[in-house]
Amino acid sequence: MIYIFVEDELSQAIVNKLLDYLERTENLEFPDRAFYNKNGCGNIKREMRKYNKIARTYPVIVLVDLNATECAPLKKEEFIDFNKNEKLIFRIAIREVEAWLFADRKNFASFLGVRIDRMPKKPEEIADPKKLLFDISRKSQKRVIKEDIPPEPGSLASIGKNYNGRLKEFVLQYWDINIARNVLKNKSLDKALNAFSSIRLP
Amino acid sequence: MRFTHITLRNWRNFKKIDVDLTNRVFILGANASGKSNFLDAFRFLKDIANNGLQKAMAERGGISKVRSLCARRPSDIEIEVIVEEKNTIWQYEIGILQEPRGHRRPILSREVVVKNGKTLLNRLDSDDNIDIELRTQTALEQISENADFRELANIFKKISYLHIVPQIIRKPKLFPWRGKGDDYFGWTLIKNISSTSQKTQKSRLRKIEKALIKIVPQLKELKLTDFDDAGERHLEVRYKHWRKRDAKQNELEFSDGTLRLIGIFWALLEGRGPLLMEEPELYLHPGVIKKLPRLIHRLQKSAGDRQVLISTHSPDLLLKGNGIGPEEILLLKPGEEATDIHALNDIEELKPLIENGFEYSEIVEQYTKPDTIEQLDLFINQL
Repeated sequence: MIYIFVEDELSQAIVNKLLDYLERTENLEFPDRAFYNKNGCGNIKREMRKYNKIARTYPVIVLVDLNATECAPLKKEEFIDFNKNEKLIFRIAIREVEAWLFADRKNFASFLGVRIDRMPKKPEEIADPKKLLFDISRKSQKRVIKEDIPPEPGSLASIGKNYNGRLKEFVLQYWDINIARNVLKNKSLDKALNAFSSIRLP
Repeated sequence: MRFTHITLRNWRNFKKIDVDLTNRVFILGANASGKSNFLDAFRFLKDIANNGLQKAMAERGGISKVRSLCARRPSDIEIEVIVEEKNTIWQYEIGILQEPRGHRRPILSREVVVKNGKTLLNRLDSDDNIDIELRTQTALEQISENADFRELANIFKKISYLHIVPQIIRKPKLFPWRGKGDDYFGWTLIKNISSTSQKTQKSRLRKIEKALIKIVPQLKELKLTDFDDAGERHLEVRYKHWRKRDAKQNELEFSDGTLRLIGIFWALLEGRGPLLMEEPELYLHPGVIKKLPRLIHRLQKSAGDRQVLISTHSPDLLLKGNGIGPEEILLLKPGEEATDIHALNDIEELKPLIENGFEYSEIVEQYTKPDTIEQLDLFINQL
């Protein structure tokens, strides 16, 4: 069993797809995956020591977004202020997992129904990937993208009404990890994949 | 008295399950995973003791509806239970199959009663083998046969089932089928309250009223009215009101939550035998749901440590702050053919989470949800 703790549904779908990808390309096996969506990184931070205890015996993956924190090492220190067990894999998406989707520029543009030149070229340098995604989605040619992804005008919600459901569709059906990984070579996505591929089941 | 163990074979969606039961049991599982089917095994024993095997099976649509679909060859349905009553340990086993020809009635393949390790009944015996008619009836249901273990039959008769539907309490006559014995969907609630002796009735209604006032603060008084012109009695509450006189309401006007609370309370106060409760959280505010386990616990204790088996989907019911142990939580997990059931503390992959203090609700949701649930999003996206 691999225990996986994430901030939201989208991260869950992404990690699941990454593990599928590694099974396919590197001949690894991750048969049993228990996902826990902790609804925000506050809960994850509070429970990090518990995850570390589980990692005495089982592999544990924790994925969080960097968000506005200055840099990843700083965030890592905030989360891991203890002796980390080897089986605990803590990864940070820079600045959010949405950036990993932007890295597959062409497919994402076509899924979102926008011209490719609207899409950012350097996904890790986007300061606020969700906000950019909302802005792009509002200009979409596709009705469902406009309806589902950005919050409605005047709404205080942080995401649109089917944000997770719609983006999971992209992750499951269109997101090309090879392309995204190449764009993010030696960046957070590539590093996460390398770390996951080191997992050995007990 | 309590059931300490149950084994089911080919019962509805269970091929073979075998679990220990604590004095309070929470049963969790996905939709249609078999929570009610599990509880129905206990109701079935009650129905046999009350009305006999033939009627108990007929009410369930016959043996073909009850026998697990994964039983490839016509095989026996088997139920085995262990019941502790004071210093006595009872064991009851029943095996049922379909009459091979003729009326195709359900007939016994065996029936065993053991009391404190001593076998009191062991069928099929030679008479059963000569006369198939004998096998259409259990010894449990026959006064002439069950003298040595009538106590056990009486225990089964004391099982009660609670799945209150507010609209049935309001309009019992609209639901004329009233099929399964005195089962508790609510149509007998007011009748039951009415037929309780004056003193007990008053004391119970007073208790319910005291709790209700804390849950519905504008409420003042709960009572049962005298017979009206139509020969009916009603539950009535008084509400505080900005007018000088309080407003009165009867069960027709109560909220769904109020009606369910009254029904749950009454059932907990009414009997002493094992109580099967379906989703007590329905219609209730999370703040109230969180208090239900301790309420149930108190009323269990004051009813002689009565056993309660609860099916639920509610995370609020499972809070550790209510002193719930993982051994009290049974999880149903549908497999390719049949459903499996295990206590939370017996599931290897969940142990590290329990040991590290995760809330049960989180563990249980992840374990019991169907693998296909994430695909629902793809369907929703197409709408």
